[in-house]
Amino acid sequence: MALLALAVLVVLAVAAPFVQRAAPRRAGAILAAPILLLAAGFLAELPAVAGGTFASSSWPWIPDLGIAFALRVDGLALLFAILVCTVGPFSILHAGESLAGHPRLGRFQSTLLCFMAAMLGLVVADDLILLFAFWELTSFTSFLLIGFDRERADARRAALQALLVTGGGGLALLAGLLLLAIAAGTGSGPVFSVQGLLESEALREPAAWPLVGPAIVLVLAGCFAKSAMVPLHFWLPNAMEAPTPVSALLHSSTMVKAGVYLAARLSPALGGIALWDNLLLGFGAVTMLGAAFAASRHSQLKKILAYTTVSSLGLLMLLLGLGAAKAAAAYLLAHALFKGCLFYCAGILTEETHVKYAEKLSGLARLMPMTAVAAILGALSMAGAFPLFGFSGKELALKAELAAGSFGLPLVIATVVTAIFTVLAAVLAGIKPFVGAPPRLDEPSAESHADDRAAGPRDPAWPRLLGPLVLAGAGLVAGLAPGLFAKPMVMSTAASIAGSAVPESPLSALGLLWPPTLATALSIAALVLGIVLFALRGAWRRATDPIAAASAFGPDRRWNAALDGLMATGRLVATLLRGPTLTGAVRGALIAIVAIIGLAAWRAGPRPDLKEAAEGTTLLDGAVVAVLVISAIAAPMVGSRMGTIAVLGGAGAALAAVFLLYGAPDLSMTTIAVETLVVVIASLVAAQLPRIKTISGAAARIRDLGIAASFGLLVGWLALSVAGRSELKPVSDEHVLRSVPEAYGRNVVNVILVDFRALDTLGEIFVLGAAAVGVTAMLGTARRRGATP
Amino acid sequence: MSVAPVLLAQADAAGAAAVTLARLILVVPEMVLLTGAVVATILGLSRSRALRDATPAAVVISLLAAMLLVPLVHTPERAEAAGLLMPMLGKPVRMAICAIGAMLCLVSIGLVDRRIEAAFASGRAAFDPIRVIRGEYYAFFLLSVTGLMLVSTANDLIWLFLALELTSLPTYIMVAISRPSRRALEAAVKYFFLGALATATFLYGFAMLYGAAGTLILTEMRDVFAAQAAAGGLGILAVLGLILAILGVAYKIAAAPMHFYAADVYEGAASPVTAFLAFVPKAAGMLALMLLLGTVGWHGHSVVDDSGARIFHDGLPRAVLYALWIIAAMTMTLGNVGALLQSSAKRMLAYSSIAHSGYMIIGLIAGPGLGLNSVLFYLLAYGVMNTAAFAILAGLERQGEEIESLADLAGLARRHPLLAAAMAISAGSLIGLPPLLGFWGKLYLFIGGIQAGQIGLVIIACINSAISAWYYLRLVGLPLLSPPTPQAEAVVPTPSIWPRVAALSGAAAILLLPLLVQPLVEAAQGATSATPADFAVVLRGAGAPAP
Repeated sequence: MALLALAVLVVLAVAAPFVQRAAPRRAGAILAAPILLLAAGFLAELPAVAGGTFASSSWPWIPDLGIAFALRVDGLALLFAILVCTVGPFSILHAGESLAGHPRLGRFQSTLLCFMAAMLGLVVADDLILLFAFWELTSFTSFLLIGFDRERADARRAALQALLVTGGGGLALLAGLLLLAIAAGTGSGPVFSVQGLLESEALREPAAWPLVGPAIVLVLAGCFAKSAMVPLHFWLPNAMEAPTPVSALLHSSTMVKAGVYLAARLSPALGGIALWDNLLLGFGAVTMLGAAFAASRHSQLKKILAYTTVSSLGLLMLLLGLGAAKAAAAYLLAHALFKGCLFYCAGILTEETHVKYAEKLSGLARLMPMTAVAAILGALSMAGAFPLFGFSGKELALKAELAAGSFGLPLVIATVVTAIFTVLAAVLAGIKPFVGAPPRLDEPSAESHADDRAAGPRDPAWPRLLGPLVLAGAGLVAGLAPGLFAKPMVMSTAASIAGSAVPESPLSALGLLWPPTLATALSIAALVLGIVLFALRGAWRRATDPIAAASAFGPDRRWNAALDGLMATGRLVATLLRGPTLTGAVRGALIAIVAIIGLAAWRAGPRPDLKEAAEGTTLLDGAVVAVLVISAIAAPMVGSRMGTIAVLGGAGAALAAVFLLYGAPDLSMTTIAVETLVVVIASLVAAQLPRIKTISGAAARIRDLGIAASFGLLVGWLALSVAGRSELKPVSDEHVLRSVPEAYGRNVVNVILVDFRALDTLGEIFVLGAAAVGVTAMLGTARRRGATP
Repeated sequence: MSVAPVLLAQADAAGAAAVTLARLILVVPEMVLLTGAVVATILGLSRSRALRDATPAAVVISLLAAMLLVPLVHTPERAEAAGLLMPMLGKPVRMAICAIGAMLCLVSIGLVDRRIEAAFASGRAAFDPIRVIRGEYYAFFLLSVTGLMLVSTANDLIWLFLALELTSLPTYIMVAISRPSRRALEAAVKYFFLGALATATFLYGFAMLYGAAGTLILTEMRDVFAAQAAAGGLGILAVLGLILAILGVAYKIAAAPMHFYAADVYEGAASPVTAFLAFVPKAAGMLALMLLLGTVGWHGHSVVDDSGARIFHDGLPRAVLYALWIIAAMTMTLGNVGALLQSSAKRMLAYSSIAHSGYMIIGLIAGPGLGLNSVLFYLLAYGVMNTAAFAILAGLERQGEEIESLADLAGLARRHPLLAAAMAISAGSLIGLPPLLGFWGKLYLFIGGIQAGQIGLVIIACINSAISAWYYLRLVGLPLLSPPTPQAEAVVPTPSIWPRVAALSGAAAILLLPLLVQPLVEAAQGATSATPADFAVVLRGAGAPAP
């Protein structure tokens, strides 16, 4: 089923542009229908999955590493699969209407379908690498979707930001997953199968901790980036640049939940490890509270929804940290239903009225009754009002926190405060636009278009209305009669998160309301206080202005600061370390060589015995060395090219003398010949060059002197250390011995060149030949430049 | 002059002859390439325009012929007889080099002699063999590739040295003649002088290694060093010599601290030559490092702790490990942070190619098994994706000049959707986005690194990958999303279609090769194992539970 669904989505993605061209008006319905059938197929699997039978399939990919194309549909995967296959088609229907006539609509639908395939693959993948591949694909397709409106710089920026945060987090995730796979393998090769990882006992062994500790941090960094946890949350509100269908699908029910999904997926293996639990609890709680506070101060429809989404993701992470599998599963489902619904309604409102701000809207219920029904149901569920499924979700969350013992109390307080803010946000975004004084239609709105004003806002046609109505209705049915679909979904998901079946407990709104508990009381109190806060929201915003200004929840300033910092570092690196000139580059390379070799030699180094080295030296040796040293020092001080060349020639001659003194007359002769030739050629070249005009200043000279001296000292030190090691037999005796009997030659040097090392000589000839041809080509180029200026 | 006591120590002269014969037959593909170089020189000087235009065809044909010959001559028995350190290294590596070489040749078609050929065609100038450089250019191209291939079959230090020089020398000239501009000449001079410094450095290192081992033959060096390590630790001479050699060879792979030339030289050369520089010398350096590190090996080393006790540890000798660690971390970070700032696409790719060397060093540190396999696999992936990215730059021009700045790519998708898609695919692969080829390269490197205990380096590499995403994504975002600037409107494809063919085939390879990861890695596994016997051990060691 999973494979079939993936294949259908990919085929549809390929076909979408053609369908759009062939049937522009009905394309949305044509593309959406097969996916709704897939959703039905997944729903049909629900009883079996709830009973504990999971469909799985696997094809080997890279057997050496145990990487396979493996799919598995358990409760958690099924919940997400159903969400993708229901919210997805609604988005396609919505886009077919709201973007009708857009020249790139076909490509948009195609990208949307690609995203759905990636998201579905992500949740059904039973292989870490496959999972990661789909993970990055969701990031990339979402980049294309957010940046769909590519004419606008804001959209492009938001798209890139989202991709960088989620994709960059993905790289941390990859490192973390690899560490986990290797830790679970305990020396027998990495375990890439997700099931294998979850069943591995090795992860909890103390010996695995050096791998598992960093793995937890890295995996959670990836999850937090994807699921917009503070301080990586900022990309999500910015991503509201995306068209409504994208926000409803990606930014409420699926993509941003991928982080939550992965944390839930790994919970059986890592849950209970203090680091894992505490990171989830800490980041979850801070995100939940902070984002809810930010939401309470906003009035732009989509931003309110975005911040409350961030807040909900925080609550979900927190619940996973508590190990409250059932509460997490219930809230996951509830949130997907009401937030998807509200995003569609917000989109419809903005499309119909061209107003983005909730405060400017009121009394629309009469003009758009169906939208109003959906939005109000969604908002009530979000506020946690009886008898919608949002109530059940919140109730279970509070119960789990109350059961958590002493440290549960701060969590309960935070959750209740969050609930108050959420009620305010829900009423503002979902209820206020529809009640109160009817809108004055003749009021010219700055954002409205002339031709639309005549028609006025009204309920859209069914393709845009179907999504919010179905989702809102599902929220109501789930709350009243969870047995229909919500209960098996939640129970099987919770079983996946906990790693084993969870005990039965009431799930319906009624069952949770009666008999009342402390959680019920808190929930009702939050509802009441939230409504009070809504009434006083003007005063609340004014009162909290200072906090908001001081807090980092404002626009993504730190993102810019971080980028600026990165750029500044880059500039620093570029100016400090890139040798802008040839000499600068040589300097840098020499310093590095001296540093690295010097360090290694110093650490373990040879300590040359100077006394032993000095033994047996004569006055003549001293004189030769003196010539060498003096010419080396004089070379840079002469001040003219010819002079420098002459002095260096002197150094060469002294070197030849050294060879002569130590019994290598042939080498000495070669050196004299080469040195003479070099002096002659260099003089010829120097005669053609312009006179040296600027000579570096004193500081530069001292610096260069230091570099040159340290390099010389290093080389000298190494040479001295080598000199002491003569345990190796010289090879020359052997050569002389074998020269006549084996090669029939009396000149040993010749024999070595053309016989013993003939292949190397051949190579040298090639290299020299290549160099000669190269010089010819260069000269040819120069001549040609002269000919055709 | 160089000496080899070992050859002499072998009393059996016939045995030595057999070794030489085996080595000569092994390099038959290289001989084909040399023949191709000669043919290219002659064709390039021909009076007939058609024959001159056939020069690159001769190059591609000789590369393909060499590729087909490699599996025929490189049999396990012959490799064994030739006494190579990694007997089968040359087989898959040389085949891959020929394939990427052919791609690089396609990229450079239409590069040299464009103006002068136009002048000949219009009759403004009479044909003059001294004024065309096509023959030289393609001959150097093949000579350099020959050098790279010879590195993979090197069995002693002199061969290795000569092969490395044969790889580099032609490239100095290629940079200078690649385009008629002062910047190209300046780049060539810089490249040459720093290259000479690097050559001196690793030659000095080779000399010290010889002093430490008493032999030039890599397999014997391995045995001597193993004996030294077992008898109380590797001599300091060997360690220092190795580090010096590594530093010198680091120049070829553009690794820090020898990376200084890369940005200027890559920018100064014409795009096709830059693509060449970013792969051929780099691959030669990587293979050379692999062989050099192979002589000391990745096990049996020890350190003496404070109490004087000898503690054996896994992996390379500590000093070498630290040096490589620092080089890897610096290379990755400098390359990526440097690339961030660039507004020139070419310069950005130049800096980023520095970073890729850093990633590959992780595999070198990790050693036999996954580590070295991943280096080979990454080299292949890098060669394909980097060449594809440069091929797109080489396939476009503005008013007859090659395009350089990122702004030139804005809105490319509207006019050349295929090229824009190829650019997005190449850049995505360079970032390491799954399921593209580059991802698998990184995956193997990271797994190898973690298994070798180099978690720190792998995390640094991940952070660097994230940084690289920031600038590589500009290569995705600008062509796909941005509206074209007036400057970008003037960008048109070059008259020659072949660079674009290379770009598209590279993009296709990036998409399709991931299906062949398993066989490719198996080939790499065969290549890096020291002997066929070790091969089996590696297979068993790295073998994961059967799926």
